[in-house]
Amino acid sequence: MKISLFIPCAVDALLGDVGMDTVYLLSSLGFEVVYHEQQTCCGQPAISAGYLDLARDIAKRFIEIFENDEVIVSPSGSCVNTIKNDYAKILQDEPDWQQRALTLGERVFEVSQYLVDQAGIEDVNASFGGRIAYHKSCHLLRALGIDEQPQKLLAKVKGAEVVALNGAEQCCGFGGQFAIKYPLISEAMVRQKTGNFLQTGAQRLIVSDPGCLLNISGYLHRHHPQLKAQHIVSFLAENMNGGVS
Amino acid sequence: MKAHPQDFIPTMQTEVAKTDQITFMNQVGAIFGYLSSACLAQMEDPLKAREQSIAIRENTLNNLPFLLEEFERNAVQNGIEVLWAADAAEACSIIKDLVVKHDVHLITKGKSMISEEIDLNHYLQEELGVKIFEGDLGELIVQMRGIPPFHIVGPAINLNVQQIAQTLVDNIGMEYTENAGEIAGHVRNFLRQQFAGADMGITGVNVAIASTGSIVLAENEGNIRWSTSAPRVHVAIMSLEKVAANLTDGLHILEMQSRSCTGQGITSYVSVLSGPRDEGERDGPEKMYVVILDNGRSQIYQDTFLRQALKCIRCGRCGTACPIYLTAGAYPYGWCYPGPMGTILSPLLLGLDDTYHVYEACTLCGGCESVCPAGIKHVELIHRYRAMKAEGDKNFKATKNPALERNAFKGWATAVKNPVLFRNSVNMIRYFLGSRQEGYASSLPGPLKSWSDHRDLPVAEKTFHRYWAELQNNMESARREAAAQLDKKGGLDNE
Ligand code: SF4
Repeated sequence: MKISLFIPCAVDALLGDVGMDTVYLLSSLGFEVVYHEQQTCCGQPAISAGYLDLARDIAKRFIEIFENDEVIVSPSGSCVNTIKNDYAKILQDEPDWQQRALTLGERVFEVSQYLVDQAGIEDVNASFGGRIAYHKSCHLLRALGIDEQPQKLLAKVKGAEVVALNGAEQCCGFGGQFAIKYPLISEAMVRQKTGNFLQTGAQRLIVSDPGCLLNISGYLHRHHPQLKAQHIVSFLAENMNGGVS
Repeated sequence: MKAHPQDFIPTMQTEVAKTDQITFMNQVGAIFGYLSSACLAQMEDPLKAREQSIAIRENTLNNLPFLLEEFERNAVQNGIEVLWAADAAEACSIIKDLVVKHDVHLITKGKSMISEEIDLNHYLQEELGVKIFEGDLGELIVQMRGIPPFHIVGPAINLNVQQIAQTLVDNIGMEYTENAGEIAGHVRNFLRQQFAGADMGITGVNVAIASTGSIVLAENEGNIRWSTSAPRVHVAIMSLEKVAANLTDGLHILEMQSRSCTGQGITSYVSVLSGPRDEGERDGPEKMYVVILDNGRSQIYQDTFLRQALKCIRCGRCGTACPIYLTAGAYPYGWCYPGPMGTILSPLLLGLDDTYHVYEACTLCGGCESVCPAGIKHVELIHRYRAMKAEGDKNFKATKNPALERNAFKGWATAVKNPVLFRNSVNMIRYFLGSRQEGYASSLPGPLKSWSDHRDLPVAEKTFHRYWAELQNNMESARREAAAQLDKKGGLDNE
């Protein structure tokens, strides 16, 4: 099975390792991974900031690049939501394009969603001795309704004890531009999030979106360097025993 | 309450420094969230109940003009006088005229957001010097302290018992006590005297019933019932979207409101008021008025997309699901509608320029819309407000975003559409992020400084693009090597 990778700009620029972990995870599971080198950004920042005219052009470009792929997978629920849900909205005055956006949207998946719902894989044959907690990234949980899928993957990691996190579904305070524009609110929010994580006594906080990872791991590195946040893809890739069990 | 959402930033700075308040409010959020979910789950079919409340609100909006006319007709038949106010100023002056006409000296109030919206208390006190007392305990405390309500049903929820006790010592001569029961007793005695002497009661309206011409009021303390039954005159103010077709619809809305808000199946008191005291009746006001306020709503109504903001039933559930509200509190919103309710209402009612930070300071996490019993799509609306602001929508008082921001976005969009330019920009940005240790940059330049003032930024050693290219190269050379090996072997074999 051939999977076309969509690597969001934040992953490309700052979290290249997460991108590579996605490649590793998927190829270890037997998928053939392709990557269109002309891809850039899905345009979410423009939609969030209200520059819809700019976003429309970017969306069309994105559609052109990906629409011939059978399956597109990305390690970011937030960007997948942009393509799946926002594109059709911003292109509503151009029915042809809107239709193309909808057709494409049906084939775009967040990694855990793809593995569990489409490929039927829950056990990636990974093991980890220790406690982990799971933060429910907003756009995965509420915009895409992805809740069980990442947790199923984690539950199947041998030896890993998944502990409950207070306020797991509460936003970590990233919000893209928000973190730059309202640093004080953003900081108070990530302090709250990491505070809850500290209380769990777990070693790792697993997240599913690059935005949350930048924010939470950046905050932990500054204030609690002994603790670590990790993208679910990296966590699985790092602890895989090779091949599907 | 004068609107000042323009002061969002300084107010927010003060509020986020209150770390105890943040911790406390997060607990409040968790508790209210739990109570409400548990209470909704007890319904026979919670999903259907929500669909029903959404359908009721949509039906109201689809038939708003007719329902309002029907309500007026029936209310008038019940002996209620219905008065229409185009804006806050007109509503205030209508009520002022009523105060004068009925020779009113003392007013008691039922907690009402709409009276906050038109800033009625200040207006009447300043214009006429009448005495006004809020009848709701929390609202009374907030009124005495001269601060805005922090939460729609818990206006003083952010104050601790010492602050509350001291306020009552200072204002109604209570003997200092921190015993909640005693405090409530003191306030009850104080308020009873006011209710007994009041000439006019002013309340809001939870739902107006078109088919019967009644208004419905929900509360837990009984003060609203006092205010609507003891004084000679009762004035109810409602915004025009509060109407429901019939009692069944109206009571369902009320039920969803109380389940979502306080986690109660229904509030302790529900009053259905269908007119003043009739001849021969012993209780109730001699005169009853309903003031229907527009204040910008018909303009919102005209836009079929924005109209959904009027579906709000003011349950406040969104607030306890909003991390911005739980963190920065109610005050930065600068008006009577705190939290996501304000995020969707204030920009349309006050204009997009003045409320910029209200809809901008949002991570679009969608917590609000996931719990909203009216089915409002907050994220979609906020996206639209930002787009209206960017384009400078005159109807809702927006000037275009500053050229600097527009141009920055334009430049970024150009790069996004051009992969070569994009790679170069990414590399340049990575260069400017400065030195890294253990894969983290900790002092960022320019506007990014606000990030690194509070946290580090993970920066992988290479871009994905580079990693990928290297992987392809490695695979290519491995393939070549393998091919060469094979050739060599083949050659040997051939020998
Ligand atoms: S927006 Fe929805 S959740 Fe918030 S107060 Fe209105 S009805 Fe309630």
